[in-house]
Amino acid sequence: MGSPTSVLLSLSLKSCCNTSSYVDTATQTLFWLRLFVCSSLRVFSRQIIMSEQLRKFEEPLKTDLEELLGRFQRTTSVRYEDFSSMWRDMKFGDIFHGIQNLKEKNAFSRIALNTATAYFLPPYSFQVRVGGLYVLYGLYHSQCSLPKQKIRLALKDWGDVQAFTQDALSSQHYDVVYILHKLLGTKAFHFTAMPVPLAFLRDKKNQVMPNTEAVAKPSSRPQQLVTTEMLEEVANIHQHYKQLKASVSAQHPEASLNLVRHNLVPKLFNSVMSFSTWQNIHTQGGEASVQSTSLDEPSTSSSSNQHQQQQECSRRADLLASIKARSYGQVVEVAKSRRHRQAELCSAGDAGPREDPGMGGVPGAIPRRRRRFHNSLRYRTLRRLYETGGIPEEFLTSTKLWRLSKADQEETTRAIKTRFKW
Amino acid sequence: MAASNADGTLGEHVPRYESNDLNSQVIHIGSFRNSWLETLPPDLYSYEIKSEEIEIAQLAEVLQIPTETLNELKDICSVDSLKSHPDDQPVDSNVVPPNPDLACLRLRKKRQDYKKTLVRDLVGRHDTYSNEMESVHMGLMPEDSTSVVPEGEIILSFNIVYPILFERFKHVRAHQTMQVLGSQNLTELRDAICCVSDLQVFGEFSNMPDATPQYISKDHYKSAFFYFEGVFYNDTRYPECRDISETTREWAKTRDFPEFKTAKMEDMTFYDLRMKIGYPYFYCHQGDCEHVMVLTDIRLIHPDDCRDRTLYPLLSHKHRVMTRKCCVCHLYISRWITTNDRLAPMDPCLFCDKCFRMLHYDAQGNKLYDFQAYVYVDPGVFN
Ligand SMILES: [Zn+2]
Ligand SMILES: [Zn+2]
Repeated sequence: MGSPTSVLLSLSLKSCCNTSSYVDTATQTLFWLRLFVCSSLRVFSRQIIMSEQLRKFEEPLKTDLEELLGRFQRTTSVRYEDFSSMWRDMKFGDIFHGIQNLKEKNAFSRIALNTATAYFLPPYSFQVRVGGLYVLYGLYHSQCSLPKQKIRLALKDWGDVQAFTQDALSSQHYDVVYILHKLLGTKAFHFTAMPVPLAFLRDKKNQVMPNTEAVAKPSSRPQQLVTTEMLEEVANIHQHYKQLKASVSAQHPEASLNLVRHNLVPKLFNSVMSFSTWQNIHTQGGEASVQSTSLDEPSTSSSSNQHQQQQECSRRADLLASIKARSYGQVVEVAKSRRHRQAELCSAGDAGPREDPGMGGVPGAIPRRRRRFHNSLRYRTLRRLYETGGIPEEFLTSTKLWRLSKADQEETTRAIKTRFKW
Repeated sequence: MAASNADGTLGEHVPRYESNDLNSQVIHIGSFRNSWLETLPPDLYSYEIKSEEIEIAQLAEVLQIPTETLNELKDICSVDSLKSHPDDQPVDSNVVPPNPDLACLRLRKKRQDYKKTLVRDLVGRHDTYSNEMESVHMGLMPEDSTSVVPEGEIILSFNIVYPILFERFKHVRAHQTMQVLGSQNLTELRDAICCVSDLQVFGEFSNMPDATPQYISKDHYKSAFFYFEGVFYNDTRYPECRDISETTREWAKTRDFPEFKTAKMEDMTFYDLRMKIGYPYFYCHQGDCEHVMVLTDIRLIHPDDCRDRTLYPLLSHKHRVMTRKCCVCHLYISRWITTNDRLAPMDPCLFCDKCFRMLHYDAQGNKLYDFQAYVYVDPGVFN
């Protein structure tokens, strides 16, 4: 119960800042009452926990999807048979198993479908998108939800889907077209305005963003802009410009004409190089720390364990690199020459976990403050009675509802509550 | 994302992100719907699910391959191809499989193992019922065929946040979610929003606790408005209704804000609105009961949606709130709130009906001492 002072405080606060003249009701008591009602609004903590829990599954979902798509990609095939054998192999349909609550089942299916839809759309290469489509087909039909959760398709992406169908049709990938038609025919899609429902959850978004961005779409604009051809071109122009300047002021070279750095081209090249290297280290560093915290093994890992973990990291990095290389195949030649060096850097950096696993591994995550808890009036009264010897101690603990169905003698072992580490 | 935002090849009414995957640009809802309907073949959004033969025949035409080949394709691509467990060894889908390879399952298993170490201290009676809210209206058909929602209608989902958000609500945003049809009036949504403020009873009742009040606030104070994209939509259906947005508009005029417009709530359907998806807007009623509301989603209606027009606006989600118990018995939900009450342990204090009468009145129902009593309506009444 909020103490009366806090109610009064919020009342006075409210009447200060509120334009009280638009109070249609004009009755102070009613106003006061309603304020009390609203301020005493408490929500069941359980409902909050569920949505937060599900959010934690986004990362592992991506890991699983990328594993499956990576395997599919290594076959360099777009045949559904290859995909379905891989799906069975990984027992991917089991991803929905182990949830008891229907509401949670539905929510998890929604997240899974939303995550997978990204791989079905540009900028991924045709093969990854085919894989994405097959994944959607697989997930849609394996989900244990009721009603079956739908795949969300935004209006702006519909054109891409149509173009994709045309591509598949013209290159006679019948299974691709068949699967898409079947999904559309079974009404597996919701035709929506935006890819995901938006609820203006500003702070939550910020926490999730760094990871998703790192995995899905590393920014490659600088690399796209500064290509070898472009550098050659700039070097040429620069040369030409210098010659022109020299011809104008051959006799007395003026300092005021030095508007451009003379080492422009190497400088430009170096900054893009260092940006790209930084980006690689950064993204892989982030993934590695996520990986190391999401592993099942306890922190007291043996050396072989460590080794395995390391291997897994670099395997995953390779996989990601290959997916990226495919979807950004057109980007830069500069990147290729550096790829081996990047691998070296990665394996050196990943040897030890970068971040303290206790921190949760999410950069910028706000540590949760423990809620302050006031004992109820009832408890305080009982406590006082107990202290003066009025009642026995067992009166202090309340009887929980579930205990009504248990025998008195049946002693439940009270485990020490520790917070779950994600 | 940036690339598709930048190119101008997409139509004007195609919603795109405005900022950071947070909310969309302003769209005209009716035109958005038309854009979908223009580009989408009607059989994709119709309620009817085609029989397999028709499907196959159509597909054979599209692919220009003989039906035999297509039947072969059908076998390869059947849903059975996804089953990792043979039919004679069914697995329990409620159990996490042992030694899972998938990262999701590993996490889920870890979580479940952790949960087993906890002592159960809550019995989720409510959870069993809350599940039903999602599935109870699934594909529901009306008895009266005139009230079927037409194909290609759109459904808007609104999150209506409970009033007054204190610091501790920052991460929760307790809300109810309503689904409305595009062709419905704004007033239909207004009437469907349930809020405790509407149920408050005005007056002091300590002298006559048995006099059941005739009117609740909803009957007395009928003014309300929605605020979307620079326009106040006022409820003016009844003669008692006043334009309660006036004060705000007057205030804004003196502060160099762009001019706000007003419109009548009952004249507008959702198709007429221009809004951003995922952007906070405002609903105000009872003079000062303020609800932030967010349009979270717009989509075409699906065969699995409720097709009975009369059941919309449809409540699809609701946060439950703790009920305030009587401070004497700690058992029943409070019905009275008293002030200046010298026997009460605090001021104000909540009582259930029984304890209230026992403490404050004698057997003949006479008031024992001086205090003020008001009717208390618990926010948990909607649970
Ligand atoms: Zn309200
Ligand atoms: Zn009581």
